[in-house]
Amino acid sequence: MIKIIGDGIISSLGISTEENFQHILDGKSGLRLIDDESSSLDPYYSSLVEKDNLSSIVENIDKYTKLEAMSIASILNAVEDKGIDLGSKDTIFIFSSTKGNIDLLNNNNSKDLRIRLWKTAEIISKYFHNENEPMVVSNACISGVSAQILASRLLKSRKYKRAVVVGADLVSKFTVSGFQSFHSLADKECQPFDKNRVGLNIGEAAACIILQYEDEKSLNNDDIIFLDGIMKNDANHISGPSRTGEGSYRCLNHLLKNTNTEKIAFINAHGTATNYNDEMESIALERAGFSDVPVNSMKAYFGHTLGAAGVLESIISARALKEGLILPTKGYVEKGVSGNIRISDRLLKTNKNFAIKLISGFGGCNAALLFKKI
Amino acid sequence: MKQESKIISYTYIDAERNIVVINGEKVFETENLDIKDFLTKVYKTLCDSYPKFYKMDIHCKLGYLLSELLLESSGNRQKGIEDRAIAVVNSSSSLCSDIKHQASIEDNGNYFPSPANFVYTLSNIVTGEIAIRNKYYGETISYIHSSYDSKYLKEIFDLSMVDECNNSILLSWIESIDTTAEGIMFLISKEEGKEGVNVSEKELDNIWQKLKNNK
Amino acid sequence: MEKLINDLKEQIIEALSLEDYSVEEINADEPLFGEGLGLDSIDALELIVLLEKNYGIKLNDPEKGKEIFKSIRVLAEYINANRAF
Repeated sequence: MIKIIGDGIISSLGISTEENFQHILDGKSGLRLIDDESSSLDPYYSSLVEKDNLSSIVENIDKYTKLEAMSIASILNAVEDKGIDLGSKDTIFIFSSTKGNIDLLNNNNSKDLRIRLWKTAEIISKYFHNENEPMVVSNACISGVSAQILASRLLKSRKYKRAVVVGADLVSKFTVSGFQSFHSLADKECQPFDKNRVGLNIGEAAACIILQYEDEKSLNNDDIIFLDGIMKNDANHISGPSRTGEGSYRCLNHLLKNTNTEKIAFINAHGTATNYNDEMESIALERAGFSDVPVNSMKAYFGHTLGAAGVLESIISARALKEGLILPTKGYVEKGVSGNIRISDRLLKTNKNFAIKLISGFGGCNAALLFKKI
Repeated sequence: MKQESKIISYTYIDAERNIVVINGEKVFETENLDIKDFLTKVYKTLCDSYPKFYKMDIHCKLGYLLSELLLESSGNRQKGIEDRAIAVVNSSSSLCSDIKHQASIEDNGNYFPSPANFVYTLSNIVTGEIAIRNKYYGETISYIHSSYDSKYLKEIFDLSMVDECNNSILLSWIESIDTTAEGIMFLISKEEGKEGVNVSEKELDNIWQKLKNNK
Repeated sequence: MEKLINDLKEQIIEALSLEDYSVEEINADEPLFGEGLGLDSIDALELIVLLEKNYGIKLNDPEKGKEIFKSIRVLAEYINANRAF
């Protein structure tokens, strides 16, 4: 069995999983209006991390870029005082990001190795004196979920005992301008699944989840298990989701091999609050028979944190499952998708033991994870 | 008895050297074409019409051509399947398109980011292009690694096969940056009755070394 | 008007990488999306960039593009009525 033995989050809402989770329970959002010419010509809503806040956590922080410092801090938060030896040979680092240190890119430094994700990953794993070559996944917005799936496979095949999975991405002029050119940024805080939704907000974060292989006997009550994970492509379009939700539908359908919809406490959807994404997810969820299962989105708390989203949102979902809670979808007021689904709009208690993380990204990729509480 | 997985076929393109190789045999060669023109020439000479090809960046064009030549020449296209994974490894992500995007936003007085280019600033788009072309609904994934590394490729292959959903894989190394555009793609299958060489780290290395040394 | 239509054809071939087409092959009255040139959602966004870059026309609502991008002739008429330079 693959158990979550540690997790950490660095975001605009706080510099630990605990702080982030508490702020969500209090209904706080990290989104605010950013008016800064170095990242965008026009003001935009986003949720940002201050590197300075990490200087008491990360040793020699000046040696590291903001992205590296955020990643390192998220790992430090995940190990905390748990006595996990990250330098050991049976620990593998898996780094996931869409753009890594993209803020370093300018007209004439494309040779800089630090722009290469494998180099970034090396710098991070070296901080923890880990000698294994880190694995790096860059799979658009599903990167953080893909990384967890690869971790689970490495652990299942017993190549390593534990995997440190990190997802991290920045908000920079590079990404902001790109999403602006797609006209997908909202001019207000995003409203997932709502009938007045007008687009997404991007946010930055680093999140770390540590997975470890455990015998079934050694598990305790309330432990959270990574039970299954799956990736599927829509085979439809490189930037638009499939109108039938093909990939997400197939992912959800696959997870039902190990559970049934009645046992599932909630589904944490991608819920970016773009017209097409939310509509697509509603169709996929209805098709796969999830019409009665509460669905939430965390995008109005953090924005869309790109490659970090899959790890960050899995951590928050696993934590909610552990506490027996179904989190509300901030920003949601009135249903604005055609699929027959139930959007979670208030904090609820649950005694069910399964939760699903659903996600999709450019390139037609989709993925889903199934977590279980013992 | 457990069936050994087999390398059924592979394709190799070095756009800088203007060559296309299928299963060790040079099938196409020109001289003195730049990377973009060479890839267009390969497309027009050896592939079926697919107008989306022109919209792709160099990285995707290279991956697309490798997959087309591989699937067509080996007779293994099998459109619409769900059990074939697509995994692409490279070192510089989508740096060619990244640089183009960066240039379009560097000057606030001449600020015109292109959505058609921005979409290619993700290193996994090439896997999506291949999935779309062939209606492959299986997993698609993009890895970043410092260089062609047969041990790493074998590990990626093994990882894909841990999942019972996957029975075959398009496994590829593609690197495109500045004046370089070089890639190799393997079709590896664990299905019974397939002919090919058993997949191993050594075999993946041998094939690569031969291609590199064959001037 | 005919000059503008011709310019537009050249610009569209370039911006949307329609390398298989020549200016002569594109019919100004043919629909740009669906049938005809078979353009898609990214192409529509790219045409919005083209309008701003070459004619100073800012289109903030991509939905508006649906009416303007019906055909090259419709687009040319719109540009004539709204161009900044």
